[in-house]
Amino acid sequence: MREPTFLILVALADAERHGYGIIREVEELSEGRLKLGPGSLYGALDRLSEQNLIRSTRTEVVNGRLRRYYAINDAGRIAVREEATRRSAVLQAAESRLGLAST
Amino acid sequence: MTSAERRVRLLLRAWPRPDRIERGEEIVTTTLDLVPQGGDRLPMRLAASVVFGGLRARWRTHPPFQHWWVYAMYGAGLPPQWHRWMLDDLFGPGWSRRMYGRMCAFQATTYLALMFVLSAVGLRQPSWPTAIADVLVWLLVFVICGMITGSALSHSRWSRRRRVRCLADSGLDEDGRVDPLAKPRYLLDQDRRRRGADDRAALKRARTLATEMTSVGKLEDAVSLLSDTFERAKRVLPHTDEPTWRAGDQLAWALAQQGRTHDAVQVGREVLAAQVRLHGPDHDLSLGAASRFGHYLRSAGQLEEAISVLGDSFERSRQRAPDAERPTWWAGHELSLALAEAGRLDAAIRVGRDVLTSRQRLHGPDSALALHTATTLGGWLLKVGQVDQAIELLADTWTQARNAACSDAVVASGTCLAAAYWQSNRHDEAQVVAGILLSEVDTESLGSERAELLELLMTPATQDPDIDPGDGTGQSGPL
Repeated sequence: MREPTFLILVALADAERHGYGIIREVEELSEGRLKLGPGSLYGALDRLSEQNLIRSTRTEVVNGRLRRYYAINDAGRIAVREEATRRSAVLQAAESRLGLAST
Repeated sequence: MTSAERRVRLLLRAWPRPDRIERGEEIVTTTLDLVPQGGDRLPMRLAASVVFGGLRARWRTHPPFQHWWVYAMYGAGLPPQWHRWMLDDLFGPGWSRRMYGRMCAFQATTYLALMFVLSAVGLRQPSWPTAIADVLVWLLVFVICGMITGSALSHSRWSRRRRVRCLADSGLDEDGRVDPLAKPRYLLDQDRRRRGADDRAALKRARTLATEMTSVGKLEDAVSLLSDTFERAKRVLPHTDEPTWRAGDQLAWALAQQGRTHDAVQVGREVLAAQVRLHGPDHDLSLGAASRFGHYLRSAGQLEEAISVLGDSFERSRQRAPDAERPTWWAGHELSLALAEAGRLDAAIRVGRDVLTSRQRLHGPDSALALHTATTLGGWLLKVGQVDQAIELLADTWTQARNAACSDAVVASGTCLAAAYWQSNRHDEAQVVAGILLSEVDTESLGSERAELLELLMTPATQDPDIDPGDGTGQSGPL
């Protein structure tokens, strides 16, 4: 799973969010490193919806502008958990090797 | 509207039209949210993201070249994953001009490729300026023709036919909805228009369409089409012609499926007489027609004639093809059912045992056909009072049905077995079987009558229940 996709799923893991909310959350999670543009965001949301990892929950109109909210599905939660475990294992291995190298 | 919003809406045209319709407003909102506070200009980074996102979406939803080529050039259909793109292409504005433009471009490319090949093999002196000038003149002529005929082109019959062809070839109706009959219906229309409704190929297409109609449950349409096809075939084709009687055979089956058993008997009789006259009584086609005719007679309640026809057909088939499910053992099963319905249970059991042994040998003891035959036979044994034999057969069948996860057979044989145990005063075992069925099978699959019977067995004061094992025919089609 690519990093933007993983971060989008993580951003949706605790609450439903609209497009702008997801972009801000991803920026915060990556400590400002990853700034998604609208094109990348909606491409990723399309793919995730096709894979049934997320779903659109509702729309609302604020100041004449339409917002659509997205939420993570059970399959999406499983995918995030698996990816997090995998990344954590890689991190532990890296730390362990660096620790060995420093001694 | 700010200039930033105007620009976003303009750049949004990079996205495929269905995406613009579905989520254009949402993309505009998100993009404008990202514009720095107080700014009226759209930053270059955001503009590029909108455009590249749109182009990526177009690339993702566009069919691969090999599919697109045959679609654009020959009007062939596309697989379901590209239907969204195709429907937008076909129903979007300027479709006829687009199709016309593509054809012109293909012709120009073909011309250039031909020039290249001829030059490469030395048949023509390379003269690219002339070739390119030729192509430009061609394109100019095409563009002028396109402009002159523009409006007429979009509303032309050519344009409509091409759209319908693409849709039908993709299994979609004229409004773009999924329709399994779209393609065979289109092919039939094509053949009728080109060759006439009485043409042999058109009559064959009509039978194909009727088969599809039957498979999707449109029996009335199938019967109407087959009646017309059968009458035309009898009038147009020579009487020795096999397709005529195939159409009749299909018509009789569709009529029987529709519940018009007397009409089915009438057509079935005509088909059987023709097959016997053409091929003799021992030919496969005659034996098949006879077994189906017997089935129509049985369904219409004409049991004595059914027994006579099926008995004859069964014996002849047995001699000719002892290992064929159809027509031999299908006819045997139909004969046993007709005998049982006529009250001749001993004879029915005798034939039923033969059918069961053969079906077990041919399809395996845990096949659906063998399990249904065994259940039917068990029911008859129970009715004639051979309770122990019935219990032995039904218990074996029930176990095999459960192992094979054949839910229909589990329900039928289990219900029969519970009733058989009850009849032989083994009430505890009857209640165990009934309890398992009631707990493992939902009421809808069980059927309300069976569920009531099983509930009754669970009640201590119940008298002997009446059972209906069903006919276990496992019929699927005439041919």
